[in-house]
Amino acid sequence: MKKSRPEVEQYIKEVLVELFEIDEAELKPDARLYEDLDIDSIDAVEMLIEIKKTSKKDINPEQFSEAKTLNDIVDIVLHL
Amino acid sequence: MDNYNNMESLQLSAKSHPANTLYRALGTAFCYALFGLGAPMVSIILPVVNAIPMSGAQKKQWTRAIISKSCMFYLNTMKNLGLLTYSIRPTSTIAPKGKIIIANHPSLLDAFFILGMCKNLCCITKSALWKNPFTALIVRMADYIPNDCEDFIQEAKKRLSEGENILIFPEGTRNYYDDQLDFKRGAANIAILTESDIVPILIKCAPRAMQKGEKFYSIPAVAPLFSFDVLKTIEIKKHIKLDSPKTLQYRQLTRYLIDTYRPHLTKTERLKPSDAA
Repeated sequence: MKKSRPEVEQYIKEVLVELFEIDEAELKPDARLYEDLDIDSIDAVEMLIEIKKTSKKDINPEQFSEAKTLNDIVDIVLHL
Repeated sequence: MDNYNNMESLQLSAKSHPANTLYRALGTAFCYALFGLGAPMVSIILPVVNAIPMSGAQKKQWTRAIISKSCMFYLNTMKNLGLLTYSIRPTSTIAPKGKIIIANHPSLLDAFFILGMCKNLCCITKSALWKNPFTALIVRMADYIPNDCEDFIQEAKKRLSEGENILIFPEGTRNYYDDQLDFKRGAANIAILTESDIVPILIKCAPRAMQKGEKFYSIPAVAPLFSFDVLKTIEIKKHIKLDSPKTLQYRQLTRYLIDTYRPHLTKTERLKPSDAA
C-alpha cells in the first residue's frame, strides 16, 4: 500500500532525528539538509542506507545526492 | 605549560624595536624566497632517489624522511634568523604507528612542524598537486593520498594497518582565532571507519602569525613562539557508544575532540572572516 505524504514526511523526520540528533522543531519542509541541518555527504550515505532498509526499494544514489531539502527527500521516497 | 605562559607574557610585553621589525620583515622575505628555491631543490633530489635501485616501500620511506628533514631545516633556518622560536614536547620527534594525527590549525607553518616532528606521516593532499609539475613527483614518491581518491576509507585503512600515520586538521583550514575550534567531522569519520586511535597535537602560536587572511608580508610585533604538545592518545572506543548509529558516533567523537582542545586554548582577538577576502 502506498503511503501518504504526511506519513512519509513523518518517517523521514524520525530518521533525521534518530541519525543526526536534530531537534524536531528545526525540521521544516524546506529545511536545507547541508546548510541548515549540518548533514554532510557521509551522513547522507548513512541516511540513504537507512531509508533503503525500511522501504526495501532501490534508491538511485545520484538522485538522492541531488536532494537539497527535507521536502526533496520526501518526494524521492514518495515516488519509489 | 607554565614555562610557555611565562615566555608568552614575556614576549607579548616586549616592545619591538623598529630596526628589529625591519630585520624580521627582510628575513621573512628571504624565507619565502628560500621556500621558493627549496621546494624545487627537493624536486631535484627526488629523481636521484627515484633512480636508486630499491623497493617502492624504501623509496617512500626515503622520500618522507627527506620531506621531514627539509621541513625541520627550513624551520630551523627561520629560528636561527630570529624569525620564530619553537618548542616541541615531549620530544622533538614522535613515531606513532597506525594513528590518526590531528592538530588545531592557527598558522601556515603547522604542517611543516608536524611533518618535521612525526615519523612515517601520510598526508591527504589536493589532487591538483598530482598534476602540478613541481609537486607531482613529491606527492607520488611520498605516496600521499589525493583527496579525490575513490575508495578513500579503504586506502586509509590499508595505510594505517601498515603502520603509517595520517595527518588531518579537523578544522579543514586555518582558523581565525585560537578558541574557534570549528572542527568538521572528517577526522572522526576516518577514525571510526578505520577503527584507529587518535594522537592529538596542541599547537599554540603567540602572537599569532602567518594566519589565514593575512597578507604574507604582515609580520607580528615580535617573533612568534610556536609550541607543539603531543597530548595523550585518544582510544576512540572509550568515547563513542558502539551500539549507536555511526552518524551519532561521528558526532560524539567530534565533540570529544573539541573538548580535548578547549581547556588548552584561550580567547584571542578575532580576525573577522570578512576581513580575509
